[in-house]
Amino acid sequence: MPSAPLSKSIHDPLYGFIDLTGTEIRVIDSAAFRRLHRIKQISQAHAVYPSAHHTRFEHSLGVCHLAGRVAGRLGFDAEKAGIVRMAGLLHDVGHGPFSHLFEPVMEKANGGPVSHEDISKAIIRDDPEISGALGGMAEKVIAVLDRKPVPGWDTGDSTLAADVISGPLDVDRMDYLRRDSYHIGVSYGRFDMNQLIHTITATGGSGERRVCIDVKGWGAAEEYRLARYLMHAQVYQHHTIIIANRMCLAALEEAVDEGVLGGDEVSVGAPGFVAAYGRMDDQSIHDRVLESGGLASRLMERIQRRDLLKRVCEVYPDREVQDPAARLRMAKMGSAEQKRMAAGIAEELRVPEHDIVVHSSHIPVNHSEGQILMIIKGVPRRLNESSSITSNNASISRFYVFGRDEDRIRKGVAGYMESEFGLDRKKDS
Amino acid sequence: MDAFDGIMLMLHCGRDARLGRTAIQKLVYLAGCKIPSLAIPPYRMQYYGPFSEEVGQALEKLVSFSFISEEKEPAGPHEAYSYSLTADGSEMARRMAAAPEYQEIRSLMDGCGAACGFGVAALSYASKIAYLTREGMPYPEAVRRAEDLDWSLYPGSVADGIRILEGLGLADA
Repeated sequence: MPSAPLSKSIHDPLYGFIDLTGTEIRVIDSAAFRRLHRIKQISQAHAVYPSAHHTRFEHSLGVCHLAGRVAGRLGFDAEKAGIVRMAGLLHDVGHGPFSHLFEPVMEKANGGPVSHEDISKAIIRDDPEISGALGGMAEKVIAVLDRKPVPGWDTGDSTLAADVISGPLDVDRMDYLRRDSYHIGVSYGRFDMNQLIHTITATGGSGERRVCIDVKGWGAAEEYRLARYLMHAQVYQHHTIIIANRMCLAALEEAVDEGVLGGDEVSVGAPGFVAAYGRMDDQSIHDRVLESGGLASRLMERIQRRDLLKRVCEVYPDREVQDPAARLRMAKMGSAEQKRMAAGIAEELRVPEHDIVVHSSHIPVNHSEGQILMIIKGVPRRLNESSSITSNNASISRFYVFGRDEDRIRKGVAGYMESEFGLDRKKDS
Repeated sequence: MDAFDGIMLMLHCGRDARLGRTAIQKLVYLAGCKIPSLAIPPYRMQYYGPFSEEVGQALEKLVSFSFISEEKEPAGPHEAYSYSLTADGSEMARRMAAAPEYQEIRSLMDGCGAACGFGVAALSYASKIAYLTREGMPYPEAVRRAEDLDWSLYPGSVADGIRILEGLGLADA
């Protein structure tokens, strides 16, 4: 529940009514925040799930609501709970068009990594409406989002607040797993959220405190872990969503090269950056690229017509690549190497470079950034080390080559995979 | 040579050490300080010392691609994971033994094994001190940075960390 006097209640399909304070309403009414209404939560997922049109806006409201509930369970006082709620509300305000797909675009335009979290902080500081609404709260909200000591708070509360927003058992995931599942019409992302929140507690002393759950929440935590795995396996890393996203990314990167995207809107630190960035959303960039007339435009048009590349090769590396050196090369392959490999295949098959996409997919079973902690007989233990379902930490890997659905392409890719990785895929082609 | 190779060579050199996730994180960080040609990914400072998501992901991938096996075993009241090379992982490590970094990694593993038996707490302190003393950070700034990170630097533990770094030739880093 919000700490300050209630100002408004907003209906939400998952939580019923979300109560908001006057300050929160001022933030929500800012142009920078309302832009999130025009940024889809899971970008191109509608290529497979036609109803996946929900946005970062409603997700942010949900995260704010859950952050308040969890802060209440953890015993934060009203002022601190308000900061945690505000951090939840603003955690995604820096997302660009097409959500995570815009991060590589920003990296290309700026010559180095730029995360949406970095941009969120810039907006919180520099957007006049948001910084004006937050006043002295701004630096505290940024500290929570940045996992830094919050001015005036002890270390334990700072680390705990950061964990609420971004950690192994955070409210961001709690909301998006259920919300994505609800909007696309699958049940994979469901879990007993009320039981999970009811059993949330804190571990640690005066130094670092972490979010964990009481043993009574064991079942709900296992469900949450399974929901995360299934949503990755069935939705986020569905092969058609992967290629729709990759083709959209190719269109955006091409748009940077063609000068369709550029200037202040993608230059972090430029004087007009926050204002210009705030004018971009999914539709405006989609239309701008589509109307630009170059290769970027043609790529975007193919996505619009759902003329997507197909899986012409799918590899389970741990089972199918026998040569360890070839398998290690596959394991190490980052996005630059994937692009080089795609260009090599395209050249060999004499097809346009963007007609081949190489993608390495890793579905996490656990959280690489940390483990869910559970209090058993007074001792915090990692959930996966006590799980009766699975204790496997490994990610599940797939390696794809996408191309035109033509016999010539399938055979050509099979030949390439045989020569490069020793894979005999002719029987599949 | 990168973090994937470094992890496999560490497990090859310290095959009886039963290294866990945290120890591997800190050893890769120390290896990055000691061996300039070892390309390690960026680390960020956490309460428990330097941590790299990319190193964690490299470890996960090496398990997923069948170069490393993961075992769960009792560790006091808890359970812990330890990692060892599979036959394919050993084969790849043997192939890398001719690389110039191999002897450096062997020396790092021998030094850490002898100094602390790969104890997680000692490795954590050594890597924290290596971070604080990097590029000649002045003492007052190092203290401020440690306070920012809420690192409690107890004299005894600092001495343990320095001893490890001295053994590795990193005390003046």
